[in-house]
Amino acid sequence: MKLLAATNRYYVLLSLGVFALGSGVLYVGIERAVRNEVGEQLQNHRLEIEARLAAGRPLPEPVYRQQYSVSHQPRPLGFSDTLLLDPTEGSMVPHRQLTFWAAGAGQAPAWVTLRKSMVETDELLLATVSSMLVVLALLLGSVVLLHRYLSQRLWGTFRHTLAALRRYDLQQHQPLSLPTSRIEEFAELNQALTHLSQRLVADYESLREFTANAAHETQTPLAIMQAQLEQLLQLPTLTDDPAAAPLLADLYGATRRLSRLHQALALLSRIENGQFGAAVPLDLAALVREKAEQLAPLLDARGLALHLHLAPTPPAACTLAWPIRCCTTYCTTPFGTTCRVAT
Amino acid sequence: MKILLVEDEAALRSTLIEALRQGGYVVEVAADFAQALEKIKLYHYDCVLLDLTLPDGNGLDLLRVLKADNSPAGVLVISARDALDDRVAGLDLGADDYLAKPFHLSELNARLRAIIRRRRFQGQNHVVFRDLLVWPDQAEVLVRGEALTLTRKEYDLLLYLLANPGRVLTKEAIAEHLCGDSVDATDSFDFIYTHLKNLRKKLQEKGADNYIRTMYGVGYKLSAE
Repeated sequence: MKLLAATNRYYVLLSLGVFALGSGVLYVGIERAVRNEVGEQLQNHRLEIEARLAAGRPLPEPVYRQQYSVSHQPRPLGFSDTLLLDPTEGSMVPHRQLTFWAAGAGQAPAWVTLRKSMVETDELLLATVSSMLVVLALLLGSVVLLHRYLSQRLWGTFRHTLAALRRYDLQQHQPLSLPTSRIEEFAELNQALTHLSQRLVADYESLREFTANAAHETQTPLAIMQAQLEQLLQLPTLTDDPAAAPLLADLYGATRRLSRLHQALALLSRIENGQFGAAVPLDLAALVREKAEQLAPLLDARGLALHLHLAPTPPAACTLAWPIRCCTTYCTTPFGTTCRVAT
Repeated sequence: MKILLVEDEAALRSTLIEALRQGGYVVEVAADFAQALEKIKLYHYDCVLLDLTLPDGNGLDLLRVLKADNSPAGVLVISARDALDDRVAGLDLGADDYLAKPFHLSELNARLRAIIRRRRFQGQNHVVFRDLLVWPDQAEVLVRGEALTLTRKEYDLLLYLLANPGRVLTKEAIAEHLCGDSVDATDSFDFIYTHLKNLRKKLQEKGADNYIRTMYGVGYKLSAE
């Protein structure tokens, strides 16, 4: 998952949580506020009626039964909720009601009930929650758009750096070339990567030079030893001492083997260091034939029968390790075995 | 035949001088780039043995100078730098051959003779040794005027001996010459004895003298005596 997508997910989840909680708190808060307000209004009406009765005036006649009713039968006092049928809309409508006892001068005591419809309150709540949903949708949409913008604009440098790293090849002997960025973090990242690649190039070059120098510095004294031993072998006086010549010859052979070993190790080091980056197309079949021809006397000496099945293959990339594999195969094959080479 | 040896290592230089003089060459020496440049500008040589790593310059630059001057001298690069790109660079610049250090002096001798033969006679010369006549380009061998049939390895062996008359050739040198680097795989050089035996037999059947001498425990020598 991309970093921005993960960040986006957390933003959205957090926004949803905050909104759900906020919506609940808002719903409860508004509902309580409205009920308090309705209760206050009902209390105010009660005070008006009680003042009217105290002034000796009679109870007003109820115009709308849903808002005001008088009963001479006892009713539960205080606030309560009820559902009343709205004859116009033909549906049950929630009401908040306040019942109290009242008695005017010379009048029989009565239980007065004041009511107020709660339909407006529900509509207010619905409108509030809807507004919140719209705000949330806008907020989430903005977050997604913002992150897409950030991804395209601000993170462009990072993607460029990543692409440069993927393309980077140490064997080109060039440090990374990364653009400067006005974003401080990316600028620091590019700078660190550039320094890292410079060090890598320097180390690679140093390793390559070391391998070349080591080969040179070792091969030269070996060349001197070998040439001088070979000259010693030419001395006519050697024939006077039959034991000396084979000793010298053995020494000469050992020097030569040491040199070969060193060359092979230097070659392996170069292969290991990736200093043979450029692959060269070779005719594998021709190479095998040539090697088989060179090996023929050695194969005869060990009684090995070599059968080549060389298909006319297209040129194939062949590693420098091929001669080494030939020699390994030769050395590990028992006397008198038949070897088959196929391409 | 005049050879210019460009080599900065004194010990190797003196050994090469001695070996080349024994081979009948007139040897001039340059120990550094400046000396070598002066000599190739002033004198003509049949062949230049060129070391690439010199204390005051690169041997490849000397090769460039030789080619720029259209020098007829052959160039044999002898270098401890045996990386593929070094070889390619040397041969691309016009060197006739490339021999990595360390090398057998007999191998150096054989390659040197091949270069001079190609340069001086456009490859059309022949090699004469006592009653033996060889035409390298036709791969034809005559003993007292009579054609001799040899296998490829026997022919290569004979040419190698002819390139180093009077010189003791070790079995390692002969094996490397015949089998290249693959010779590392073997721990026995008995196969050389087989080829030598067959070559001797074929030469003697045609009436040639036995001039291939065995040097006990060392190798073989083509004796002029």
